[in-house]
Formats: sequence, C-alpha cells, structure tokens
Amino acid sequence: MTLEDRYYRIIDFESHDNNGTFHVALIDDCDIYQGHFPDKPVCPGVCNIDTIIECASKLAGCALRTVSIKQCRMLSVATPYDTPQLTVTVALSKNNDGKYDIVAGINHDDTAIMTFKGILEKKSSI
Amino acid sequence: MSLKEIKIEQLIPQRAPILNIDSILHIAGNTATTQLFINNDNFFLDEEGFFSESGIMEHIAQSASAIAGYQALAKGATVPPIGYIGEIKNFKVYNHPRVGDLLTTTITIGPEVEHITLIEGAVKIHSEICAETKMKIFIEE
Repeated sequence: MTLEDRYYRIIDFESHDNNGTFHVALIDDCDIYQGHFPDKPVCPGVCNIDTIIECASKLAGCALRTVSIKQCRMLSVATPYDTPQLTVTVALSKNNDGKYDIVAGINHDDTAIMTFKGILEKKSSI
Repeated sequence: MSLKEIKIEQLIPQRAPILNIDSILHIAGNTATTQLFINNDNFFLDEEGFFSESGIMEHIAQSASAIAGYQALAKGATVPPIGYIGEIKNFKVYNHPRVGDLLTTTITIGPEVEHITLIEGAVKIHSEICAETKMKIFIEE
C-alpha cells in the first residue's frame, strides 16, 4: 500500500538536512472514501499518519516504518473537500539505536490537523 | 442479542476497502475481544505482504468503535455511530503481522468524558503479543 498518487499528490517540497516541508493535495476520488465513510468522505487518521511516514521516507532516502508512537493527536477532521491541500512538516533525527526519532505535523492553512511524535526504522531491517 | 447473529456492518459505518475487523468474539464488562483475518486483498498490506502499523491502529480503533456500536444497537439504534481516533499514545509494535495471520485483539474500555472514551488495545497472533496502544476515541452521536 502506497498512498502517494492514490490518496495524495505531492505539489512541492523543500528539505534541509533531515527537515522537510511537503505541500500535498488530497485526491478526492480516492477509493478509500468509498468506505470511510459511505456518503461522508473523511480522511482516515491512519492514512494521514502514513502520509507522514511516506514523506519521512523521502527525507531519509529509504522506506521507513513505525516502531512506536509516543503521542499522535488528531486535532481536526480533514476531508478532501474542506481541506483539499495539506502541509506536512517532518523533522527526523537519527538516534543511538540507528533508528529515527520523528516529530511531524499536518496543517491546513493555520489549522492543525495532526501532531505526531515517535520512532521509525528502516523497513529493510526486518 | 447474540454476537453471532450480528454482522460487523451493523456495528460500524466503515466499509471496504478500509473495513478492518471481522467480528466481536465476546464482550464482558469493560473488556471485549475482536478478530481480523488478514486476507491477501487487505488494503493495509505492503508489497512484501506485511500488514502496516497503520492497519494495526485502524483495526484497534474499529474494534473500539464496534463495541460502541454494539452498545448503541442494544439501546435501539438503527445506524451505527461514527467513531474517530482523537489520540494515539504509547503505540508499540513488537511483531509485524503478515498476510494470512489471524489477529485477536483485546480492547479494554476506560472512562468516557463528553463522548471521548479512553481505550487500551492489545493485538495478538496466536498467543503472542504483536502490538499495543492507548487511544482516545471520539464517538459521534
């Protein structure tokens, strides 16, 4: 499951070291909305988390996955109609275990949609 | 009302491709057990057949939502309530589930304040824990 070009499209992004800002557009005819929810399209919070993980993977230059989440707050509901464009900010730092500490957020204009703090690891370390 | 007679679609509003719980096995007091068999067409599978962490979280959230749906149905509701994740805290993955695994999940329901319920979820494959978390679930009336 990759959400890029299915759930969202990257409009542009800028990065410096392990910090990045991604402007994304939600894809309103994504199949996810057939089930979440029928006749009431709402962005699943977990898909917003995966959007953060995929942006973090671009920053790191390798596929990442979640090891743990210290806290993820879902502050406002996002929908492809009410919040068609989102800004994803990601700050990564390598920790002593060779994993990545991540602090990230999703905003729509000045409205905070999500905050995310956790630990990611390279997928290939399975 | 027997759990076996209830379809999961009566308890939660989610549908394919995002529906991520098969059934509630039992409910006793503040604890419930749910199940999900990871089919090969599950939305949350990656190209190597691993079930993603977001899939685990969605399964736990839908399990909690299904319990709220069961309670609403028992009170006479005809449409299942919509539940949203408000917060995920202390989520940990110990083992990554794969296609073909059967997840058995224990949900413990905590106190509810203004439609927000604190829950704890623990997911096992066979008897081995693979993930656990705390969540705040907001149930829309």
